[in-house]
Amino acid sequence: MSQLVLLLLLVPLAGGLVTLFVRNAGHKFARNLALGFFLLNLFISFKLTWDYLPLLEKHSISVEEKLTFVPLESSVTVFDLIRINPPYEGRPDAGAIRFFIGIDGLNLFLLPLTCILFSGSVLATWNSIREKSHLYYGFMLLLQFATLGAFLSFDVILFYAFFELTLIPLLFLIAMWGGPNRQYAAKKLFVYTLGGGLATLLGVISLISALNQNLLDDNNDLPVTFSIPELITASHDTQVGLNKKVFETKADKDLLNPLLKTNLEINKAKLDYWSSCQKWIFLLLATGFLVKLPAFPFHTWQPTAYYEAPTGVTLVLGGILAKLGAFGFLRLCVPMLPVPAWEFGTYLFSILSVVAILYGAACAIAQDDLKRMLAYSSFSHLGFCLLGIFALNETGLTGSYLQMINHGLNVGALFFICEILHHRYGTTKFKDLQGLGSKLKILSGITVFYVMCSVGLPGLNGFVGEVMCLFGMFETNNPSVSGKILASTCSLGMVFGAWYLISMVMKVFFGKLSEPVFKKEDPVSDLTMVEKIFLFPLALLCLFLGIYPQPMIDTIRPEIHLIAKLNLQANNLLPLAKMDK
Amino acid sequence: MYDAMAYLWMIPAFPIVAGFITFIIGPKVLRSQAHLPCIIAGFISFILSLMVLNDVVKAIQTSDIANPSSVAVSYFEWFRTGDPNLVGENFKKAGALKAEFSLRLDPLSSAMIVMVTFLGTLIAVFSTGYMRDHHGHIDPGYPRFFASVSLFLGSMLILVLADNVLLLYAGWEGVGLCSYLLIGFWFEKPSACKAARKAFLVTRLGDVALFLGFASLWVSSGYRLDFDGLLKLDNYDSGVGLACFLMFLGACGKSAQFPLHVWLPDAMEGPSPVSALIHAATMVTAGVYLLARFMPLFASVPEVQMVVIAVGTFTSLLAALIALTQTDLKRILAYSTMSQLGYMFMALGAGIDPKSALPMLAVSAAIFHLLTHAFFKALLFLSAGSVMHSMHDVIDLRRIGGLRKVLPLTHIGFLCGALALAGLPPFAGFWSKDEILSVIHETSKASNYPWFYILMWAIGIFVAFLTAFYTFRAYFLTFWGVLKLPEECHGEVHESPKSMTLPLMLLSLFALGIGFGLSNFTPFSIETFLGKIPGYVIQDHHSHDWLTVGFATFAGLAGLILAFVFYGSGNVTISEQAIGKSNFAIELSKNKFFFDEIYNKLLIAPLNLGFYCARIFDQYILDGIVDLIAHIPKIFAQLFRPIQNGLVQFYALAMILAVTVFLIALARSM
Repeated sequence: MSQLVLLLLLVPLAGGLVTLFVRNAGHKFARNLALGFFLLNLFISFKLTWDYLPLLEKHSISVEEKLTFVPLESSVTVFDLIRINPPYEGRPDAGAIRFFIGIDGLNLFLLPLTCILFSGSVLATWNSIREKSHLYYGFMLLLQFATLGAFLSFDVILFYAFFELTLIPLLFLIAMWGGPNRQYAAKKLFVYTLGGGLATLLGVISLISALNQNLLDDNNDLPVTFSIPELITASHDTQVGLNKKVFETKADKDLLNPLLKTNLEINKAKLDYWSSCQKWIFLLLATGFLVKLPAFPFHTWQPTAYYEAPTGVTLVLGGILAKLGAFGFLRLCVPMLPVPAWEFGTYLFSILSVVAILYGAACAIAQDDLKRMLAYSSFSHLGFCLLGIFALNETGLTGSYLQMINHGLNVGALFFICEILHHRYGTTKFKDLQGLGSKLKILSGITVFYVMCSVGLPGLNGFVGEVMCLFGMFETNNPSVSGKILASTCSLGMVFGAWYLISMVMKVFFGKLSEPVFKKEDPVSDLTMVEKIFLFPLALLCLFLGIYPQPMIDTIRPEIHLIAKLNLQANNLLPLAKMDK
Repeated sequence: MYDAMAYLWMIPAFPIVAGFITFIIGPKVLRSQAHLPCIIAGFISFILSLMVLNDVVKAIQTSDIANPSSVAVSYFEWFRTGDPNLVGENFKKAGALKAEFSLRLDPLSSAMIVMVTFLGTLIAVFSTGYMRDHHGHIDPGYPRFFASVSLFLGSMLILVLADNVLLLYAGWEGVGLCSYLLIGFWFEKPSACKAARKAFLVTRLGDVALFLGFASLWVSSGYRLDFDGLLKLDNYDSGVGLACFLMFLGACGKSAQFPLHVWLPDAMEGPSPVSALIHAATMVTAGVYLLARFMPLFASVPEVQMVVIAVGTFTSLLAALIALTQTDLKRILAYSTMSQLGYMFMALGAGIDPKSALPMLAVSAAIFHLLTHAFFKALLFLSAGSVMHSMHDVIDLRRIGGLRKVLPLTHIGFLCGALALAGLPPFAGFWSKDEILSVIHETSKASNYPWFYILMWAIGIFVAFLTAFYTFRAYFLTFWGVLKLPEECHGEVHESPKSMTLPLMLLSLFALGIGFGLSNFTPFSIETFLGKIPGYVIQDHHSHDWLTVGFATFAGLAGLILAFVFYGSGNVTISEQAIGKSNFAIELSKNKFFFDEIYNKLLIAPLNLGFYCARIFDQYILDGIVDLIAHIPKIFAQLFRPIQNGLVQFYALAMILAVTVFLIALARSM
């Protein structure tokens, strides 16, 4: 089955390279070719989900045992890319930058989400990309390749490479097919994300070298490691080991013994050093992810980029690429550096997320353009993701993961609808589009449905994630914040969220019909078959995930449990006896 | 365990499925028959509810341990997370969030479902006539209407049956959504869509409070979300008061109590059957149901209960005062709904001291009034709908009048409803209103603040007077005096079709009889029935508070007579001259005490300004700073730019200079 995982990566890569070179075949051919690749990949991702879902439920034992992320054995593809140290006995993972991909609970659901939204993106721009369409679709396929790669990587350098690789097709896509201000938007996106990414790279390198210093003195000349599971173990061992040493020497009553005293001081100094290392590494790592998410105050690239990008690209940008930021936190930041996450991460990022939720919603209410409003709405909703992660308990972490998936589906559908309007009327300004409900009946019905998903109506998908993020923060044990106040403040975001979305429905679909005089398409038609194919099944999926999200929660439980547990152990919140076990 | 548990889930399931079916195949396949799924599902649910009720009644009569009067059953797990086994030193039990699709059957929920399904079905039948024009052509949104009504019924049933607060919240939001869809049913009317948005957002504000109330209860009770876990009094910390207050705020939003009451009058933009079903009989009583459900908690925090009764009393007085001068028939009824809901909250607020029988009395009085009010207010709204239908959507009291002869059946229906609302014996409102006032009187004896409760009681009686007055003002102005038709009718009036008048007649019977039927004088006493909800102390003997009965009846009669004196002629102008032209009090009442204006000026406008500022800040200031930072490298580049001037001589000179410096440095270091 590992070939299938590899195939998931190779199909868009090969497809992208092929599509880039079909220059003279016309835009329909390029589109259909790309759609074929996307659909093939969609099928593969569904097959993978279907196959791995039952396996993952049993996989909690090995995660529990190894206390780190464990990709399912049957899904792993691994080989060396650059070997730095010679192969080390018993630790094949160490000593090389490797191509190491696999599937675990954390990335499994992101794969079909990616494939759904990319296929949807092709359907969204069904007839609107006519110029150089082979390049457009080629870059889209490459973008999917990079995104999937980042989700699948278990090697930190590989992850970073894919993470940054997403930028290149994105840059071209925005700069070539975007709106009037596209050059500026693309440049801004590029500089911002690249800057953030470089900070992340710096963080990764410092982490690796800090861990390589052998702070524990266990007489091993450690090979340098780049594998994410090993890094987590190493970081955790260092933290727990140093804690334990300090604890043991403290417990020794014979403090008059000068040797022991210096020993204690040395260990304390080491612990302090390690803590300050962690603090800076954490901040560096987080920067890149915060930019990608985006979180306040690193978000200013986002409205411009979302607005200027062709809507098909905005759809994947908001639906999937933003999730890379949250995913980075879950995969790298929090499990590798649980101490700073607990000590100041919660404090810092929960406040950032409160600001994002309320400030983003406030900006969204004041917008006069559908696409811009959706951009800010996305910014606001992802605040819940960040809030849930830094509740640092199972409820919050699970909620944040569900929010990632659900927000992806909802915002994808809403941007899709935005493109439907844009394609018909050539504008998404509220003042131009009014009272479309009497003309486009099915479209308004389905829009109300997705708006309700996004508003967080119970029974639809948006609710579950939001409620878990809020409940998680509500009962967080972190003494640095008052979870109740934070969660209460954030829940105002639910009112504001309803405010702008319901107002949007009122402006665009309710009231007296008033269309722009100049239309791109005349007469304006209701949903076409292609649009229905995307919107209707997705609506069913949203309904299903709202009513029965438990399989998903059960599947990600081992990983979520692991992150929460690593956190508690590293911060000495679990008794040592249990730690040894 | 009841036998009924096996099919309890079907009661909400039928309408929900019917709703989805109508949404999907309604516009294309069913068309003018789109009401069928809704009515059939509603009727099946009604029959099932009756069977359930029968089961519960039987269990209560035998009342042995094998048949407890309250049973919860979980059908499937909605979502669950958290690990209760993860325990550490500095770490309390990691919160487990467990939301289940579980339903609860007890006297309270069984009484509610019978009422909801009965009225729902009846009103759906009424709507088949109402949603057509005079030639029998269906409204363009006919399928959408019945789909939403069906979905509404399902959500409401989930709300009252839920055993898990998150499931209750799901029903709570579900009814909110359907209310939004139905208020905005005629979405091409700007006023209707504004009203729909207002209703959604104002209630949403309450919903968030409710949500937070549930969250703090969840923490206080040691991470429980089911009622069995939540209503045990011994395992709480001090957060209960706050949780109760937040839940009450939620109830205020849904039940249109001050300060979140502003949406209900505007909600009358929806079709009349919707006003009858959602904005009179069922959804707006959800707050009352919620407080009744949580009565054991509320009773343990008397401070919150004082807030509840004060808000209830204030709202009932406020709404009654506003209703005095309104000229829109449906809005008068809307304000009277607010006022009557205020009564119910007054009753609930009277439930203090969990060790006495007061909480039980309070709940039974509130639910009693909820049930009778549901029937007679639905009747009034449907009658008003029938008037509206015949008058081509005109219900301005200044433009219609003297309809007694032309709409005889509607007239009888409205009269029965009005008599019940005014609380005159032997109509329904009389019995339940007296229960409420009696329980407040009773509480004043037990409370530490007797005068406070006496004051509430006195205001309650005054509101009874006002109620009778404004109800009969509306009645006289609509049905008495000279026949007056709006020009839209072109001089022709017909009584509504049978599908509309039959439900009216049926409801009239209920308005007449349900009050006595459920009172303490019959074996079907609602007090005895609800007293069997576990956890209540039951009062053994029934004392009748004749003082209250006397005062309230007198107040009602006085109101009726006064209304006859002023408006018996059926003409608005003459009577208003009698009061005196426009004085401040009347202006205040006419303009609904300027609440909309105050909220707009003090809340909405500053908020909108804030939002606008946020947008400007984000787009220009924050982004401007970012762009400025982006210019810094460029400025540096400007500094060095003269160096690259393209002159080969300059480069050569620079190179030579550099090499010289380098050589000197090299020489010195050696």
